Amino acid sequence: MPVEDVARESPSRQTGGASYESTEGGAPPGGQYCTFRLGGLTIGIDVHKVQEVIRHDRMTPVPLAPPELVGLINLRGEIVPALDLRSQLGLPSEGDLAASVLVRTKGETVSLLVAEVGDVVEPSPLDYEPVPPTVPARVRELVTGTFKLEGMLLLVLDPDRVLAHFGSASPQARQHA
Amino acid sequence: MNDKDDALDEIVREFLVESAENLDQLDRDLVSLERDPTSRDLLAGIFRAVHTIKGTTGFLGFARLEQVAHRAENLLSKLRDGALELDTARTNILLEVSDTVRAILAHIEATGNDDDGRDRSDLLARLAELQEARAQGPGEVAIQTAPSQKTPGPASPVAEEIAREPQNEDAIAPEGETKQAAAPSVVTATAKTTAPKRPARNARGAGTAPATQATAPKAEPTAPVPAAAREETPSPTPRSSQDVPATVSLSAAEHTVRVDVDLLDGLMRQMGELVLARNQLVSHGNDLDDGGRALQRLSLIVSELQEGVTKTRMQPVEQLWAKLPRVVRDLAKQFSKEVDLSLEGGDTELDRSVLEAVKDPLTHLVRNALDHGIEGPAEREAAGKRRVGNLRLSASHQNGKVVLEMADDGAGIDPERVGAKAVEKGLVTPERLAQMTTREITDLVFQPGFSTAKQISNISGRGVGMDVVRTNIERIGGSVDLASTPRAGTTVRIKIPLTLAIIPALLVTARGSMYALAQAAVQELVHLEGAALREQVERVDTALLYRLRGHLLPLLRLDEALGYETTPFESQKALDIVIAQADGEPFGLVVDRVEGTQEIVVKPLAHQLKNLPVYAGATVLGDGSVALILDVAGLADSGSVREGRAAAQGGEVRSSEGGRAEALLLLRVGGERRVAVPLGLVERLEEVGAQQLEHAGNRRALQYRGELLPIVWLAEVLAIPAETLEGRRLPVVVCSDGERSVGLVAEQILDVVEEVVNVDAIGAAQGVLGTAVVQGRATDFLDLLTAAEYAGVVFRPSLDLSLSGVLSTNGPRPEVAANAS
Repeated sequence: MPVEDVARESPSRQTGGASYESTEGGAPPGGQYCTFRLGGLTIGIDVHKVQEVIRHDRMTPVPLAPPELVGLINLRGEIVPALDLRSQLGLPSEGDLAASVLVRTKGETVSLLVAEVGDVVEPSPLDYEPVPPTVPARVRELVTGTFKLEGMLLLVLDPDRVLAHFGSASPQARQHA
Repeated sequence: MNDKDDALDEIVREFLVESAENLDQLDRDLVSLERDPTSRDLLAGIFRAVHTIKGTTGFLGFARLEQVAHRAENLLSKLRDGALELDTARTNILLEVSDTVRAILAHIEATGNDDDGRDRSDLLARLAELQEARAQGPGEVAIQTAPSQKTPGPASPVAEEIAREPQNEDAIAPEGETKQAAAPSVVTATAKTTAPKRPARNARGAGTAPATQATAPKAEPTAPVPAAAREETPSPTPRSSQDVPATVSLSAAEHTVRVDVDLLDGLMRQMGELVLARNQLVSHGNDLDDGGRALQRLSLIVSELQEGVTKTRMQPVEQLWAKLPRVVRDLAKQFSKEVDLSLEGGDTELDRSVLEAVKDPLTHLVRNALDHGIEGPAEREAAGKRRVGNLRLSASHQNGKVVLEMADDGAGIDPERVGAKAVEKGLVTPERLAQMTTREITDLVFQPGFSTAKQISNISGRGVGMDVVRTNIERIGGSVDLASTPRAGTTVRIKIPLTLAIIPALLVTARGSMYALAQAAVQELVHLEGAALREQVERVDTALLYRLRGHLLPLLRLDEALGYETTPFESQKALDIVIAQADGEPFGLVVDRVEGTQEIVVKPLAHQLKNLPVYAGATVLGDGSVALILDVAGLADSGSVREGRAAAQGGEVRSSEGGRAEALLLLRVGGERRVAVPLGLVERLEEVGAQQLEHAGNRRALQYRGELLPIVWLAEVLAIPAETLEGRRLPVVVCSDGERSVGLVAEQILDVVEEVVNVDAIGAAQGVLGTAVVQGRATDFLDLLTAAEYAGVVFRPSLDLSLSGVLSTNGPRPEVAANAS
């Protein structure tokens, strides 16, 4: 599916987070998820939190910034930090990150770089499972739960948590790297 | 349920904003009133402000606030009616009321209720006491009228009755009606007493005009003009109703709309984008079918829109001025000093973010002036000055910037004391001090950790003063300049940009990425290669130093500062250095390449990046790419600059033993006269065609950077025959005192030299301060003040022309023949 379609299908742009209820610690959320591929994993983000998906052309590196910050992109005049979550998710930092998923949380827009954009899916709440305890702690910090779909596991990523860990988690990340 | 709460919140918020404005006005009026206790206009205004607050608080159910306001109103109504006289005790308590009301309002804003748990009974009791203590009041009228409450005596009882009646209703009336209800009581007061004086206080804005019609008729029935008033005023009725608009400031509500600041900021941001998009479109304009006419129109509209949006964020300096009378009064009382404050140029407009940024520095300067600058009355009289000190603040537009100037006629800054203090604090070495000019010594007060207060007061003199002022002003691209004459006073000049939204920037590259630097922090650009590089850049331990006209500057390599691995400097063939200044201290920033200048829109960084001190923000360049904006102060704070400074201090003392080298610009004037100008006063060198000069009367001027630059022939100043420069291009030396500029025409620009010179005043003549041997030849030192006067430009006399104090400009100078015209 072309990137542009994903953006159009996310109905959230006007409503913002108004209808969205935090899933933190609560029951398995139903609803739709935008899916992305990153380092061999399939990641889902609540459609209400995805503002749009773009292909970025240029990025300005920020020396001295935390390592997950790849650079700054110009989104119609707004300067948006672009994050590569691979090291935080314990994934190998190889391969291109072609697409930029813009998520809006707490008044800030952040771009999450992904390798590939997938479909919008609506998994059955019955397929929901909490994050297995075998998953490394730093991944569990960002992922709220999983859905078992046909032949794959969808990791539900919470952009709020990503942002909360941005910068603060970097010394840790540096040590891991 | 929710809606109702919101509606109430809305009213409370409105009330808070309005009350804050009322209180500011109240403070100003009270301070003015203290000087002119008989002004009924002022009293009426104060009464109205308190009355409005009281009325609204009653309606909103803030009982504690109402109680305070009510007592204050009682006192005020007696003052207004002349039953009591305003003295210092009463002024103090009214100001205290104003502070108390502010405190309660702040509490309401934070918590939604007015119970801040503090006991105000003392204040209330004192209010009651002062309102009864008639014996204190020197007014005999008060004593006379007191017993005559029931008889139709002069002034007070009538007014009091009328004033009181509607008030009780206000307490329960909805807010909208409160103001209207308040009006009659005010009208009564002013009608009686202000008519002969005419409106001293002008109504704010045209918005009050409709209010006149609404309230004036109402005033008539409720305000039976008392007999006393008729005696005072020949034609009370028509005039007094004209006076009503002058004093009833029912706010400019009809003509203004309150807009949320975030909304304006958003508009401004989008405006910047629109301008950038327009600029990108314009380059394709010719490809369009209609030859770009529609685009041209769009372009024009965008420009006008931009101007309009920019204006919405402009606020008058008056907003800064408004707080000062109160500050000055309180401080003057505290230090037992007498001060006349005059404020000028309040209508000068500034972007609100700039206004916000200069507020604290300005307040600090005012405090400094009162604490350290202006002397006590006795000391002043002993020095042959007026008892009352003068503090003058002015604001004006100059060369697209706003200049705030604060001048006092106090004790000035004593260079000796400053110098001694700086040595004592270890800020400079005694050797270094001995070589410093008066101006450089005075500037030491901007050093962090400097404070000359003999005893530490609780207001200033804690050693966190002037350096913070300078840092804060420089952070917004401004500059602070201090000129002081011992015993005569101090002038502080703050230059600030009109807006922070768009700033001129220098673009440089490091490791293939583009970075922007605020132009305001950039002093000059230097390209070094070959012999110059080897001679002028040296390494002391790990620090790199660059020798610029006798000063050693620490060098910072941008790529290193950004955390990149660097190659040793010795392997580089050429260096591009940006000389930048932070906290008054220059340093050199080594960049890969200087790309040029561009106006940029400053955007904040994501808050996760805010803790990186080397960045001040980011911007989108013309080609749509993002560039980081470097923070000069943040870079200067890096380790290698500090190391370099330490190394430079040692190096400088060593290098300058046996006199200090002066950087001089050498000119040839007339046939063979050699004239030297201190390079520090030279802004730039130009070459112009003779036909570019314009003549105005006997004076000549040059269109230069959008302004007229007065031009003077040095040969004329020195009264020697000039060479004919017919058909040649004229070398013009642009000199400036930082504010005014003048262009000097010489026959030839010879050289820039650095030499240790000994100027002998024996050679002094018209336009010449003295003579010295430079490059083995006798050279005249130009008297720039005189030269400027030839062009009709008066330079600041405090300008440091003195070549490290070798020559005194304050001493007798050759008289200037008042020729020129």
